[in-house]
Amino acid sequence: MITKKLSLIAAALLFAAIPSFAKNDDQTDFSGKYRRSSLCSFLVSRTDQKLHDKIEEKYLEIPTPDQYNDHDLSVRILSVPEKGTKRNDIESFLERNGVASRIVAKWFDRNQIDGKCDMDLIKSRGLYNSSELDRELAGRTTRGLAMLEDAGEELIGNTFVLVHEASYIDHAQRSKNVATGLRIFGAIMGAVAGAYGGSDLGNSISDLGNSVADMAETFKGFRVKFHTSLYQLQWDEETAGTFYKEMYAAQGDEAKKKAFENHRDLFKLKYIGDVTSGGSKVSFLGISEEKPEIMVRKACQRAIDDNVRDLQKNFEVFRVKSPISKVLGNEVEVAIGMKEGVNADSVYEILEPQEENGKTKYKKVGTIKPVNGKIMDNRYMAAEEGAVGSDLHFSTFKITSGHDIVPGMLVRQVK
Amino acid sequence: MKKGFLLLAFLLGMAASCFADGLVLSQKGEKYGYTDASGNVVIKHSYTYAFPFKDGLAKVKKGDKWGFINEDGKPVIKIQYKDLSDFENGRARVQTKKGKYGYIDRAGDFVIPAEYDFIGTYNDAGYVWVAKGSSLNTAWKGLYKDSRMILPCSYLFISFFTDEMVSWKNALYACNNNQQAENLSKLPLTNVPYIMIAPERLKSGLADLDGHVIVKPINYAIGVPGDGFAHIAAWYTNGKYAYNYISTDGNNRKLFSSDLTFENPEKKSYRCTPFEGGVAKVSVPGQSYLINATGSTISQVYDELTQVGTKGYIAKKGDKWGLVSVYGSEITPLEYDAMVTPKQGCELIGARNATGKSGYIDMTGSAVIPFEYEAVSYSLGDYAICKKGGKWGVVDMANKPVLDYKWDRVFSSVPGKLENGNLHVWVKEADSQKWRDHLLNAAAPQNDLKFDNVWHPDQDGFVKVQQGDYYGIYSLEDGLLVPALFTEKQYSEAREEYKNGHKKRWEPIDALRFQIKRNPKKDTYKLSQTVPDDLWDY
Repeated sequence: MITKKLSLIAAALLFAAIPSFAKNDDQTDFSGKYRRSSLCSFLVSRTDQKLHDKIEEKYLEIPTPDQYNDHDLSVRILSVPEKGTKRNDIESFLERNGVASRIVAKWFDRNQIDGKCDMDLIKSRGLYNSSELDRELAGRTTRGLAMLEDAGEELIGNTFVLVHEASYIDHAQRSKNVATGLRIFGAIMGAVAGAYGGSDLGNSISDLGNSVADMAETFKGFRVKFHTSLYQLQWDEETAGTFYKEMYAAQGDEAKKKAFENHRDLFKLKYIGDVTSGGSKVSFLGISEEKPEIMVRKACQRAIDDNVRDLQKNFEVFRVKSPISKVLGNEVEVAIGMKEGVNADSVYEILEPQEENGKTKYKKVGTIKPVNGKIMDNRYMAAEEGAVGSDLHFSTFKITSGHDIVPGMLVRQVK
Repeated sequence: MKKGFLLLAFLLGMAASCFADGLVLSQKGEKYGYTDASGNVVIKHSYTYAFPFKDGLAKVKKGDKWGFINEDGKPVIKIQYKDLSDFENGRARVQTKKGKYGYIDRAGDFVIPAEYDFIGTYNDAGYVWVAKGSSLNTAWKGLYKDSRMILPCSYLFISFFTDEMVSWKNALYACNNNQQAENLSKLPLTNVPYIMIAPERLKSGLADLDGHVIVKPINYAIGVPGDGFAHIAAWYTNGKYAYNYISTDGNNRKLFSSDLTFENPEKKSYRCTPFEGGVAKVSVPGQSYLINATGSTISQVYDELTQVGTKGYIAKKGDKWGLVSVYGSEITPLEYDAMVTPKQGCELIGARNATGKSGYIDMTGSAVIPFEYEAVSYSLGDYAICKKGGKWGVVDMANKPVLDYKWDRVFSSVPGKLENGNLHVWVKEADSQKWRDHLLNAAAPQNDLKFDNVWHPDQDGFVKVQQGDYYGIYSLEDGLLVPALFTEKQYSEAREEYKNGHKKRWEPIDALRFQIKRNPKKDTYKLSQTVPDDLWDY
């Protein structure tokens, strides 16, 4: 145990993520102290579909999952007139609009007015000791270069783009016609507005009651399917070298600014894979009948969460690492749950972050399995449904191999 | 054998209880029911809508009626209500099929009978209002504390004195008559233990929080009580006003045998304060004076009396000014030509003497800053703003200049007792007529920034600044935080974004990105199109 802690403390000299490890194993909150991958998402919205505007509105409310850094760009929604979007259409959009270059620009908070860049986001997301990184970079030391390389591999290179295409499934057989519902909704607003203008309030209230019930029925039948494509930013030695040499400007620099703008195509995204959510019905449980449109958010968010989970399962490069919050004898607690796909059959490996000449390595030191009945249900609105495990803040795992496990070590899904 | 049976019964009992705690709400077709953690049905799917169990009860709907069931599926609160709230502090609001509201306890017994057309939500002090009538915009008419009726539902309206109103002290109508009863709303929490009661139009009285009437309704408006009296006022259509005080012992004894009546055609605000320490200030047109609890006048009669902290008043009569103690005696004779009311928290008073020179005196009447200036403004705690040679500057309490006399105006909203001894003031340049941030004892303004207008710091210490038609955020500690690039309309949103963000200082590029993110056009492009650069934030 002592050796393990010393090794972690050694890492902490460089990486500010770990220093509180040895001080108080049980109390430290590691939720903000590990390196996450970064995510930039787009929605491709089919304008031929009913409720596409509602889906767009609710999509914008969905936050980036906790285990990723929000790397969204200003443009979030694109439209297509009908179904039939091909991978080529998406890639053409990403390339034509220089999305990869914009993602890189965001990493360096590049000022598009004068081209000035900084390393603040890298320092903060990489949990680097800011003054040490500055000192090493200013001195152009081997260690400094290694740290820069580390940031590239660990942070910039782990930036992903998700492109979701939504398909609304209209199960009108049990829900009232959606368009009618919306018309009624419009009528309600008119009636209420009219009521305040002096029309008969009693009638308005009764209209409102009936229409709320109609709206609830409409949204109870709401189902949505998402097809999600995953891309990864390519950040190799050559790209990084060109960027740092010709485009990175610590102060405003017209030549470097132009170099970046004229060579946006230097930066690329690599297609990793895609998944489609099942489009199965999402329960209306936990949604107030007075606010049935929350169903759209619930269905969209659950479908997107499912896709993120499946992409993690299918593509190792997209898998996230999460910190162990607490070690209790032969069990550990980790703040991941059903949203991340934890189930009775899951297996996770435990990784110990180690620093070697400025670079981070992860050494496998054990494996864990979820404890039945102690899996957190952190899916959107699980608590409102009263779902089992929705009152937990962590999932509990049994250590199946390894020893000297301490809080702050990371876990990654194997199965 | 018997022991074994008892143990088995105990274990089974335990198992049943744990089992019940783990009931899971589930949906089957159109109906809702409850299962155990393994998905076995425990309570049949027979409800049109249902909520998860909470503290052993679940709210369920059958047809269009609501009730509560227990973990055995038995109705604990009969499924009969048109509407039903969750239990909070052991009480749930019900609405009967006839539309009447009340509250029940967890046994289903009425805490407040379901006979009201409108009802509030209990506030944290356990008070809730009730009302009968046909109008939604009705006023609070009756009052309950827990299950006890404090005031019957027989008033035209009742009203609470809010702390905010009381803090004005001299407000005539300290109770807020404009509070409208919004159905299900909570009563405000207040430290003032009185309720205004109005049985009919233009009539008001006072009750304590137990419902005892301490001022029987009278044809006056009523103010916040203090020291056994409440100020009352009436005004008439002929433009006449009548002021008095009335006892709060239930006897409705007026302090003055005849009301103080006056005409007020210009409808100016004349305020009498509540009694405090046995003294109240009476203000009527042209007269302001102090009285004691017997109604006797204990000061001279002045044109104006303005309270300064807790120590006394600035008094004005004709064109002369002086200081008066809280007990009515004159601290200084009325010998000054002008006085400046100090900012809250400061008790140094700028004054001009008969020779036309200005200086500062304290509340004992002693000169603190000598009378050698052309003009003075208000004090800044340990500093004072003075004018010499046609320009404004600042001196410390030793009358030593800490800001040179070269500015067209000087002001500060921060009293000058800062730990590090640095006090920021805003100075107006003669040339540009713009405001600049200047530290006392500094040789020059803090920076090159100039503003057309600056505001007092808000609750977060942000100073709103204006340059041309645009607004930004300035900090007296950190300088410009957000450049003045936002319209008046965008300012609040930008302020919130800045406050919640991680950047200490916004550059123009951050302002540009803020604008881009709020441009709805950015999300209107087709997948086949190229989104223009000016809609991308990077």
